[in-house]
Amino acid sequence: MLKYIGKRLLWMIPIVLGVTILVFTMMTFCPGDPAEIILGTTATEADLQAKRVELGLDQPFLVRLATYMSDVFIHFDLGNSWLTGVNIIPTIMERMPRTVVLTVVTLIIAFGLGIPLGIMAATHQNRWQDHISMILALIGVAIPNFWLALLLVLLFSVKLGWLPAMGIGTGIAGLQYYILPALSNCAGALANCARQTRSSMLDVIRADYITTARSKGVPENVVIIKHALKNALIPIITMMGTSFGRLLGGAMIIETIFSIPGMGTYIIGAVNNRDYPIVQGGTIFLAIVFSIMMLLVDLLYAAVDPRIKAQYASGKKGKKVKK
Amino acid sequence: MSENKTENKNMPFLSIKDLKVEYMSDGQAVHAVNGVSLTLERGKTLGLVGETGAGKTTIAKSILRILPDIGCHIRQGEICLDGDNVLTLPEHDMRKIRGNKVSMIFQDPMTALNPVQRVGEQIAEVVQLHSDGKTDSEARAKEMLEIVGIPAERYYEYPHQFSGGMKQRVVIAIALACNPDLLLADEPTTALDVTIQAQVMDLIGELQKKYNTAMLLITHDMGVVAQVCDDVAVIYAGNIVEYGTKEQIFDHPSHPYTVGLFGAIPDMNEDEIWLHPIDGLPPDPTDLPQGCAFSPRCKYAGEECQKGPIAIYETADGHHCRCCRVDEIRKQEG
Repeated sequence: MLKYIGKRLLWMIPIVLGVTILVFTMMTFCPGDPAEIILGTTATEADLQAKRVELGLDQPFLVRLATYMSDVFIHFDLGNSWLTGVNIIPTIMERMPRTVVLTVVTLIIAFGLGIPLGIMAATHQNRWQDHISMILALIGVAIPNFWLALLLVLLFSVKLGWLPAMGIGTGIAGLQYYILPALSNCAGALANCARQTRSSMLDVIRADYITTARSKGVPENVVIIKHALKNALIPIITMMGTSFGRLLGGAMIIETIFSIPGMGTYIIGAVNNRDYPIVQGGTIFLAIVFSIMMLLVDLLYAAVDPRIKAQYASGKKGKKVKK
Repeated sequence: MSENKTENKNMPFLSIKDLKVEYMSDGQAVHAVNGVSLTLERGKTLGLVGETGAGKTTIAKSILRILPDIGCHIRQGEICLDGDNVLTLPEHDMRKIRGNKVSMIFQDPMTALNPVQRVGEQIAEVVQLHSDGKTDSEARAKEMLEIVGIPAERYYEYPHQFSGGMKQRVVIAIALACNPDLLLADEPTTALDVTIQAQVMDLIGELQKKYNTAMLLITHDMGVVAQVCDDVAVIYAGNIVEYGTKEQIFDHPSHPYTVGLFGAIPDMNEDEIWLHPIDGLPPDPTDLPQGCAFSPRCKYAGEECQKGPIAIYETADGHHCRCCRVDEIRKQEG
């Protein structure tokens, strides 16, 4: 098992390398001149040229790529922001936790409500509980998160004054700042989770081993949670992984609305300013977080299903036999 | 109370009266069980024989009330266990019966065990549910594993680490863990190869004798019936067409369907080129024929066979046959 984890962590190296090359290339071919954006439209051609040399933009693409790669992977230096000159890594370290907390809180709300909703729909298939759950899911998928965000702010911050409308706080009390953003961000994931839970529960609930459990005299709620849900979890966990990615990527809209200084606002600002180092560095960090999340998802599979665990372990055994 | 007890003594251990079960499928009623009545005493074995889809499993599941809750209805009838009608018991009391007083061995061992739960825990679960809190469920589960011939160390393994035969033993261990009074064995050997079949049947027989358990054995294997059953009920299209002791059914099959079933078994002592199947197909359970359900396939069928429901006749002591022409047929056949 440890060997499997080690193998997966090693696999992250080519993934991050690939992401770096891809983002670097895309930014290079992106229209817009960073020097012009930094110095403004009033700058002279000589100033612009001097700035380009300073930023290294006069070098050929491959040389710049090689320099960047060696900076990042050998010196672990993502460089400084072109606009402000501040080193990127401390800024990312400060902003990344906010985005991750926002995403995790969103996931907890989405799955904490979505799974019970899906179970209710599946255990009451074709009855009113099922229809209500699925209509809620339909609404959840259809609602744009920025619109929901504005409505929630109107209700909870402006009318009722229960929760802060924007910004961030510190410590445990700071978590209240994440409630509205997470609530408005979770509708889509919640709806998808409810639908996924319903369909995979429906697959499982008719299985023979569920009848076996009932024939043993197991109470119905235990049958549903212990016997059925555990078997239905695999597709739900898969969805949790993809939802995490989508929420991480979609955080910029919510962060902008709620003025949360996270990765989303950081990268979107950098894209607009053609601040290449920030875009590249931020993307690399998001790729690492996402890869780790995917590894966690795969490990969760093994925790839930002993057959998958055996597969991970047997990958190791199979190689030994070959040798 | 005392009155009840005397009444219970006169009643057979299990008695099913006029049971009718329907499934709803695409808005059509599927008549799975159509008025089955049978009785079973403690320690005895009743074989339910019939084709796939004849309603055998539905009868067994009705006793435990574990039919799928959507689209399935027990239309009428009563199932009395020790004098209590289980169909009217509240769900809470029913749960105490399931796995404890009545348990079931399922047909397909490959799918009957929960793939994500350790096999030992699956046995221990039923022990724990029905114990008084003093029993060590893990120890009992290990004991059950040993009884069915699996080393107790394998308690911690998962179903995918077991072969089909071993899984079936685990299913049997679950069913027998609480020493049930009634065992519903739904084709316990169909999924197993012949050598394992014999072992499994011997095992069930031994445990049955030890605990004086009554067994309802569902099968379409006449060999197994001959080996273990005391009484036999032949089911066709959700109804009992012939009912009697094993000797009566095997030596004097009366209903044309039973005769056909025995005729379909090839004779080992004769050089037979062709098998002798029963012509035709079982009737569509959404659209059962009027009168005798077997009449469209019966070579003896006459006009009276298609008129209204056919009553069950007692042809000999305890030997019942649902055929209105049984006497004529016997004369014809000599």
